[in-house]
Amino acid sequence: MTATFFEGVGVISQACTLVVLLPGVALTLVSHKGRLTVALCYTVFAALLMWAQAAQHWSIASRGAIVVPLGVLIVASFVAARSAQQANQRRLIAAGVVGGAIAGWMWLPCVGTQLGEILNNASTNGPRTLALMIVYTAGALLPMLLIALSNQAIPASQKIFEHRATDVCAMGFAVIYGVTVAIGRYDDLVGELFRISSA
Amino acid sequence: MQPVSIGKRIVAMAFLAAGIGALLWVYLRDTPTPVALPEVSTGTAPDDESVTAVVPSSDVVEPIPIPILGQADTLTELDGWLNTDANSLEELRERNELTVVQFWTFGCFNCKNTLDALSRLYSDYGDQGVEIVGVHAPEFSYEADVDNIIAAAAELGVTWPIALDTNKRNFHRWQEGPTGYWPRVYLIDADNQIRFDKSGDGAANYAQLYDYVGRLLNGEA
Repeated sequence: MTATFFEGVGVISQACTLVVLLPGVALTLVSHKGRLTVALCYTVFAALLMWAQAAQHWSIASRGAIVVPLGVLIVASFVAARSAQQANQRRLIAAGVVGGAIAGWMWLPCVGTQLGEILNNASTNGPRTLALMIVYTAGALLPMLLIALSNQAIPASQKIFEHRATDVCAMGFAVIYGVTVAIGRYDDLVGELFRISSA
Repeated sequence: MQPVSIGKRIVAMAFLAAGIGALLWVYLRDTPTPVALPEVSTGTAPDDESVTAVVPSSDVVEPIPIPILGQADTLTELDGWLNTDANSLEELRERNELTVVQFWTFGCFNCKNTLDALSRLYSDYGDQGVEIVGVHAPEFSYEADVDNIIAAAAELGVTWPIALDTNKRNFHRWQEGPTGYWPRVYLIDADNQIRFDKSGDGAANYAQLYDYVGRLLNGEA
């Protein structure tokens, strides 16, 4: 289990992981009133959809005309997360669930040793592989979880994360994310950003 | 925001410290090494007969039968081929006894990890009727550029045929379910049956592939 977690941490900087990590970070940042709730829901549901596809419990492809409503749902999840009050846990949970499920559904991961074992055995060893998938995803989404935790651990960090510029950037990303998903170009956008940043 | 209790804050700080520690540990240690093939029995007769002579027959473990996983698909609607004069998977299959088909993309870290293992397989068995076909299915637009693929193949030492699956039609058709993974490798026998199918860059997977290739070449059904 430790090896699975650390393999997830090890792929954070890979483009194929950034595809799912960047929306998670942005969604966590806009969730002023419940970052940890959103981050945990996002992690679990991203893992669940990845696992369900590997185990062949989910057979609908995230391609074709379906990407248009997905783009709309993405923007809606960001708006819901941003506008939710602390008492409104349902809205925060829904935002995390929808955001995570869409990200996990569209995720085409580069597969290392541990993730390979999970995917190769997902259809024959369900509960264990699902647990391992959540552990792997928690590793891959660690920066998002750390941002969520920092709110609780270091109250001073709120000054950074509550800053208007952070909020504008995160909501701006949400719009770009939703639009590029709707036109089927989101992976290309992340790939191009990755190529430019690593050149 | 409501104030967080001291207890919760301590727990959160512990998780935060552990998470930052995990990040630092992973990114400050050495770069992981590519997949290495452990020494495995290839099923072929060793040149040195004394090796078998010292092994008591009662200790010889029967190898696990190589499974038959179904009929292999073909590659269609490709955007071209590199490193070969062939124009189809069938043409390459006719020239060889076994075909290894790997779905990869040159920007994928885990795909690159497998190339040493595939290079060894190719150098050991390439002249014995084994062909490797790297089906290049790009995830990102910069990986779809043919010039980039040619340059990356040269840099990475990919000398086996590359099928260009730019729109990932074969990538999605070959892989069951709504998604697909990089890398994924298949071994296809002379009867066009899939004998091996694994996702990921695990060394054990590629050692098993090497083992199966040796055994099938040696006549195992």
